[in-house]
Amino acid sequence: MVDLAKEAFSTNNFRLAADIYERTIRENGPTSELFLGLADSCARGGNFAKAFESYKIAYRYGKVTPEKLKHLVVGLIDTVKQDLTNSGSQQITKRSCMFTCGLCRGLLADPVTVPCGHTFCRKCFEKDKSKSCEVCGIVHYRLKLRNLNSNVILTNLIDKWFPNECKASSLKKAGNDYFTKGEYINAIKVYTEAIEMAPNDHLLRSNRCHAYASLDRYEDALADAELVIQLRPDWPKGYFRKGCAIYGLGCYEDAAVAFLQCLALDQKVSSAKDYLSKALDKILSALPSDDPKAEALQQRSNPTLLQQLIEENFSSPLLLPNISSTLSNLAKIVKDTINTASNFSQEPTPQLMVAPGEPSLSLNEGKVKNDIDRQNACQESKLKETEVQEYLSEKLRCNSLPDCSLVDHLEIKKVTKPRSHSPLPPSPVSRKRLRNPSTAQIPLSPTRSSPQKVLKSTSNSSASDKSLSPLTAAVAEPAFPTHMKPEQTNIEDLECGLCYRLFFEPVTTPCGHTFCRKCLDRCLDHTVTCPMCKGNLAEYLAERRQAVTDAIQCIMETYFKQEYIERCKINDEEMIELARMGSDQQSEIPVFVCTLTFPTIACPLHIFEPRYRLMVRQCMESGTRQFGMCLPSSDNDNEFSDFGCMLEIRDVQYFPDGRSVVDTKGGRRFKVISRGKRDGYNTAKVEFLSDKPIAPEDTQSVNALQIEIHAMINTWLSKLPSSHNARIRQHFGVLPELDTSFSFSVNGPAWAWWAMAVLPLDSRVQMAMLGMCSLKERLIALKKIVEYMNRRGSR
Amino acid sequence: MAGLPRRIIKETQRLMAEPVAGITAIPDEQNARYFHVVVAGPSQSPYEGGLFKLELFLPEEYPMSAPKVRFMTKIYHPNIDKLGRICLDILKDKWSPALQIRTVLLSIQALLSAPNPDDPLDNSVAEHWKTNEKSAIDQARQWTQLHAKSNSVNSH
Repeated sequence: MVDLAKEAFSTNNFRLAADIYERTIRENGPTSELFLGLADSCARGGNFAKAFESYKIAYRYGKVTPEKLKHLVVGLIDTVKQDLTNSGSQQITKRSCMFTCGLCRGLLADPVTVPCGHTFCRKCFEKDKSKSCEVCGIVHYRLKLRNLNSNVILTNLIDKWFPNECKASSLKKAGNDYFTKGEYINAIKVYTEAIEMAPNDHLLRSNRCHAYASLDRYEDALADAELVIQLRPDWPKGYFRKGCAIYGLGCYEDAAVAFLQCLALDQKVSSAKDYLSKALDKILSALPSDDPKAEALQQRSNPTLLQQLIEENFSSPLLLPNISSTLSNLAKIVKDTINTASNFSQEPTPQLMVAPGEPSLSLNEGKVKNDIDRQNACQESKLKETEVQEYLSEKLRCNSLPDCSLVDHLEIKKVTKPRSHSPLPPSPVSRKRLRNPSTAQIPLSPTRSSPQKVLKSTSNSSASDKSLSPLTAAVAEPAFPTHMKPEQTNIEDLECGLCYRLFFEPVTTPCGHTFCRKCLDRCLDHTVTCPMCKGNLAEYLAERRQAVTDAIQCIMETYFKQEYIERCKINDEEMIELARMGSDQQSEIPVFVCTLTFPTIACPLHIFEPRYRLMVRQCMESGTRQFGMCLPSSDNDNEFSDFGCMLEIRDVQYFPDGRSVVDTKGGRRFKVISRGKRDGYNTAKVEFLSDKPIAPEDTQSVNALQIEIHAMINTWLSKLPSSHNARIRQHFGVLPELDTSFSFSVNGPAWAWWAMAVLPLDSRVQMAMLGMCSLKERLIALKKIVEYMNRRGSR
Repeated sequence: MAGLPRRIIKETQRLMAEPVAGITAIPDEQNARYFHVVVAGPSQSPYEGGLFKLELFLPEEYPMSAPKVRFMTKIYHPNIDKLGRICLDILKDKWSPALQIRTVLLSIQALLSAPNPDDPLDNSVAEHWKTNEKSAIDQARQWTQLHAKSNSVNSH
C-alpha cells in the first residue's frame, strides 16, 4: 500500500497519495512515517492545513529530522510562486540597471558585459555556475569568462562618478580577507569604516551582518539585515541574512518567514531552503499545548504575527490548526516582499549634480522624493503588523474557507498597497524604450501619493517615530553630497569611437569595447577584429550578436536624455532616408553592379564585398528589401549600365564570417538618369519602366504571337541535351505557362523574361530588350532570336 | 553626395582645439576632406629643424578606409619614396576605423624618429641606410637643410 502511495506521489498524484496514506493509517494504525507521507502529499498538493496537522502528528509519533521536511519546503515555495502568477505581479524579471550588478545588486566591480547585453561584476558571474543571465535568463553555454574583458566605458564611468564607493569597495575586499581568515572583529572594523564612506552599499552591511552573526551577535546582525532589506528590498540574500539572524535569536517563525521571502524572490537559494526546513522543524517540534512548557513558549518576548498565529493555532485544544489563514498571511507577507521588490528600482546615483538646469532639478526632486518614500516605506513596514492583524481578526471572524483560495488573495490584494521606492524621476517613455524589449520591462511606476498612505503615515506618526532606530534615521538622510560638478558628466564619456556621436544601440565586444551596433557592423564588413584593440571578433560575428549593452543604454537615457533623444532623431532620419530609396521617381536607389536580371526571374547572390554587405544590411534594416541590379559598363565614363532591374530580397542566409547568400527575385525595370555614391556603393536616380498598354485591335495578334513563340521555345528546349535542360530547370525553374492577362501587366508575361534569361544571348541584346517598353516589339525580337536558334539547332 | 560626416567635423574641431605638438593640420578652404599638414622634424633625428609639408586626404569611405597621406617636401627616408608616398602599416593593412587623423600624424612623426630600413619603400635609400647609416643620416640632414628649412618649403 505504501509503495502504491509512493508511486502516486512520485507521479505528482498527491491527492491519491494522500488518500492511500489515510487509508493505510486507518487500517494499519498510525506511525510517524505514514503521517509524514500523508503530510508530504498534502503539502505538495497545496492543502497546508492538513499538512501541518499531519506533520504535527508525525512529530508526536517519532523523530523527524529537518531533512524530511523538504516536501513541505517545496510546497511552500510552490505556493509562493503560484501566488505571484495569480496576483499578476509576476514581474520579478529584474529591470535594467545602470551601475548595478544584476547578481549582487551592488555597484559594479570589474564589470563584464555578457553576450545578452547585461553586465555583472566579474566575481559575481564567476560564482554563478549556471552560466545563465540573472536578468534575462539566457544561458551562455559557451561563454568563457576569462575571454571577456572588463567593459571599458562602464569601468571608467564608475571610477569617475563613484569615487567614494570605489574606495569603500577596496575596503570591502580587505574586510572579506579578514572574514575568510576568521578575524571577524577586524572584518567588522573595516566594514564599518567602508560603510561610513558608502552608507548605501547594502553589500557592506550584508557582509558585516554575516560577520556579526559569526560572532553570535545576532541583535547587531539583525539590525544590519533590516537595513540591507531597506536598501535593497529586491535582493533575496537580504532576507536570508535576516532569517539567519532571527534564527540565531531563536524566533523560528519569523526566521521561516524571512527565508520564505528570500525564496520567493529566488527559488534557487539552497541554503535558504536548508534553513527554512530547520526553522520549520523547530516550529513543528514545538511542544503541544497540553505540555506545561508550552507556556514558556507563549511568553516569548516580542511575539510577531506569524508566531502568534502559529501559537494560537497550534495551541488550540483539538490541535486542529487553522493553518490556512496562517498561510494566507504568510503568503501576504511574502507577496508584499515581492511587490516591494518588483517596484524597486534603486540605482546608485553618482555624486554629481548637473548644472543648475532642468536635469539637476529633476534629479534632486527624485532624491528628496526617494527619501520621503523611504521614510514612508519604513513607517509602513512597521505599520504592516497592525494592519495585518486588523485584517486577520476580520478574517478569523468570518473565516469559513478551507484553504487559501483565490478569494483570500483578492482580499489581500485590497489591503496590499503599492509602495514606491523608485528614486528616479518618472522618465517620459520615449519611443526607443518601447522599441527596446529589455527596457520595456520597466514596471509601471506605482502610485506615489495614495491618500490611504498619507493618512496612515500621519495618523501613526508617533508610532513610527518610536520605531525608527538611529540607523534607519541615518539612512533617511540625503545619501550623497550634492556637489556642483557639471564637468563630470561629460558626453564624450559615452561617445562611439567610430562615429564620434553619442552611442546608438551600444554593443560591447568580448574585449570590452563599446560601439554603436551599426558602426561595429560596418567595421566587421571589412575585417573581423576590434577597431580599438585588434582583438579577434570572429566568434562575435559568427553569433550575430545584436544585444544592446543595457547599462550604457540606461545611463544615456537617464543622464543624457536630451542628447539621447537627439541621437534617436538623427538615426530615425537616416532610416527614413534609406527607406525612401526607390519609393518615388526622384529618389535614389542603391545599385549592385554585377549582372543582368529580369522581372520575375530569381537571382541568388553571394554577398562578400564590404560595400554590398552594408547595402544589403541597410536594405533589410530600412525595410525596403530591394535594390537595383545593373551590368558593369564597358564605357569608361559610367561604372554601370543604363538599364537595370530591381531585385526584391526574399531571404538572407548568413555565413559565420559575415558573408551571405541573398535570394532575390526581379522586380521593376528602370532606366538610369544619373549616378551617385553612398557609403561606398553605387546609387542611381532612375526612371521606372513599364510596358505601353496594348491597343485593343492589337490584342489578338499579340496573343497569337506569344502562343507561337512559346511553342517555339518549347521546341528549342526539347532539342537541348537533357543535361542542359536539367541545369536550366535547376537555375530558373520550368518555362512559365502562357499568360493571357498580359495586356494589363507592367512587365508583360513572365515566360518571355524566362526565355531571355535562359537563351544564350549577348548581354547587349538582353539589355536592349530589357529597355523595350512595347510587348509587341519585344516579342518580335524574341521570335527572331528563337527562330535563329531553332534553325541553327536543326542544322 | 551627403554632407560632411559628423566624425570628420569633430576630428577637425578637436585638431584645432588641441593641436599635437610639432604638427599643424589645417583643412582646405575648398575641400574639408583635404588637409594641409606641416610636421616639424623630431629633435634628435636627422630631420630636426626641418618643417615638412604633407597633404592628407580623407577618402569617401573614411573612416572605413585609411586617409591618404603624402609628403610634399622632399625627404631622405627609407620608408618614404621620391613621390612622398609613405610606407606605414597603419595607412595600409593595419588601418582601423578607430584610428584618426591625429594618430596617423603622430605615427608619421614617430616614423621620422625611427626609420625602418628593413621594410623599405625606397630601396636605394634603405640600402644606403643599411650599409652606411652614418652617411645616410648625414644625407638626410643635408636634404633637411636643403628642402625643409622653414622659409624655403619646396614642393615637388
